[in-house]
Amino acid sequence: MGSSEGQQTFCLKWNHHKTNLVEILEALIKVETYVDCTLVVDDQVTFKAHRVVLAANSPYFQSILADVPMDHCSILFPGVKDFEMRALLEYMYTGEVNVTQAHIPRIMKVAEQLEVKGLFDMTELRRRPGSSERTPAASPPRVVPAAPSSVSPPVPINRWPPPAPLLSAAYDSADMNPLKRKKLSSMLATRDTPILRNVLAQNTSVDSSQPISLVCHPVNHEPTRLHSNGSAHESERPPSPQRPFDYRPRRLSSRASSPHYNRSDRSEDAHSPYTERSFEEENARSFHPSSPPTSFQQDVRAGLAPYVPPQQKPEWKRYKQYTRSDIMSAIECVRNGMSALQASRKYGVPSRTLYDKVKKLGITTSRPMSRGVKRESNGAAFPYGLSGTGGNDDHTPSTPLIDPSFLQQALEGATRDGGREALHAMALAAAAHAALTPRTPPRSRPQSPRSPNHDDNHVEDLSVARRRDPDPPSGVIVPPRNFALDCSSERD
Amino acid sequence: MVTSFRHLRDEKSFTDVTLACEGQTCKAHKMVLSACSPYFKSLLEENPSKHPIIILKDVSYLHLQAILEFMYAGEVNVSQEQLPAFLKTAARLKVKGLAEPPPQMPSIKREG
Repeated sequence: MGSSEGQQTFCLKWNHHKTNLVEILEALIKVETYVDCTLVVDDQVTFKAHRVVLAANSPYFQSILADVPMDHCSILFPGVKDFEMRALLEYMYTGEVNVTQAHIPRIMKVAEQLEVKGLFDMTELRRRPGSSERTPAASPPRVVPAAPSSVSPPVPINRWPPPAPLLSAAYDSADMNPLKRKKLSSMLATRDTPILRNVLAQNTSVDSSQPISLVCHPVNHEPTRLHSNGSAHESERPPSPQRPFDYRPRRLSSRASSPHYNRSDRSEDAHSPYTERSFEEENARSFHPSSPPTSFQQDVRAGLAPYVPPQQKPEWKRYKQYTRSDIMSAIECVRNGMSALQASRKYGVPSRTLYDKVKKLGITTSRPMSRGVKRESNGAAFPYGLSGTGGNDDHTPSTPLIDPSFLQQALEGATRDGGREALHAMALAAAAHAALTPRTPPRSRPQSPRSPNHDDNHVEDLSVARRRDPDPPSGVIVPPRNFALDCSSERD
Repeated sequence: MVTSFRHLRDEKSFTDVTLACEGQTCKAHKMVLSACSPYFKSLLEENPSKHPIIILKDVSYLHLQAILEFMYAGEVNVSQEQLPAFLKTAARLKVKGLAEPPPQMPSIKREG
């Protein structure tokens, strides 16, 4: 495409890679394929396992197995019963296991000795003196009967009381550096706080033989995963705006003592552009779901396009709370036809950034890319990955000073009139034109070639667009989600 | 002979078993373990692995080290306050010379 074609690198990403990896291991252990160690417990009961899984789930195993070069090793556990080991193995492979209540103490004991992540952390915390300062927002590990249908919502009593913030503190105290954090989370597996979703708490008269599950929420599997730590994976869950407000301080820093996220915390996060982004945006969104116009006007006041205005750069930096994989996934989605806005929501990537990335990937224009261009682009929507050039080129008015409410209307109009396919087609055609102006996709619908196929009730929108910019194709920049962000920043 | 065994242990040469407890590991020789403890002997006999790893439950690493020291050297220094726990551990592991009370002890015990 452009001059930099030779050097351009592409990220090939499979969104289900992690899931696949986990599931494969589970499948492999079932047929005992590639197992490389044998665990022997009392009564000569043996279990086969993969060392890598053991190591991933337990620093103890990690250290023990590190210097064991044998092809196949035996690990003897005198004094450990087979049900204990079975439960722990299942837990390690799947992240959860159903056990009877009577077995829990013994299993936890073994887990503690073997430092099984999640289980071990909790027992560790139980002993810690500092556990008195738990915050109410913390969700204790819950024990919920494995068959939840039969039971009313569990009473939140803490049998295993380690509060998540404490856990977070334990996890994160050392790694303020996002890179390190990233490394940790990627290398040592997620240190998700396991949620003991069953807690005996709910009813002491629970039949002790009732199966209970120890759940370590696997990444991506739980829609309501709690943000108990700074794991980078958290932001991969498609955030839903309606999600109940369950945020907790991601990290127990001294400042984060209030359950509500302290904005001042953010400044120190995210020195790297690709750190995780988790709370801030969602927080902001849930705090101010409907406040876009303000921030937009703020941008306007600044005399700059809402697109990364220089003054806001510092602010902007704080938002980079997503991982690289997030944005890659988002880009992939956009490439596959998802709107940039949706993708940005889904992966928790700021839409501005996503637009930027999409453009960068999609087009290599001869003109200097990046921020400057963005500012002058009048925001023709272009969510289509590689074809990311905007429709018309000849025209790069510095538009964005349009009243946001009008923009909203325009956008709505665009959706309503169902001209989406048409717009899409036009957009593609325009892309084929090798137009050089990179566009920012404001929203899911391709805005650019706004043809007069609107209903009468949309005339108004068009006129608005014309007023600002006679060229219909020139869309509007709607930095959709960031409105809320900016807004919240304003308030703080 | 004894000193050379000790030397081997210090050097970790030819070690063929790993003992782990409390998150720490130490290497040893099956032969020595088997010779000094019927517990380890049966354990190792039952699991003829080339280099097994034995994860001991409820054993303090300190005591384990002391026991290994005792196995290799025939003697070990244990502090007074650690002694009961150490002997208990040794009894669990059936360490010869520590587990069974020494010959002169039974008479005392019987009296008590």
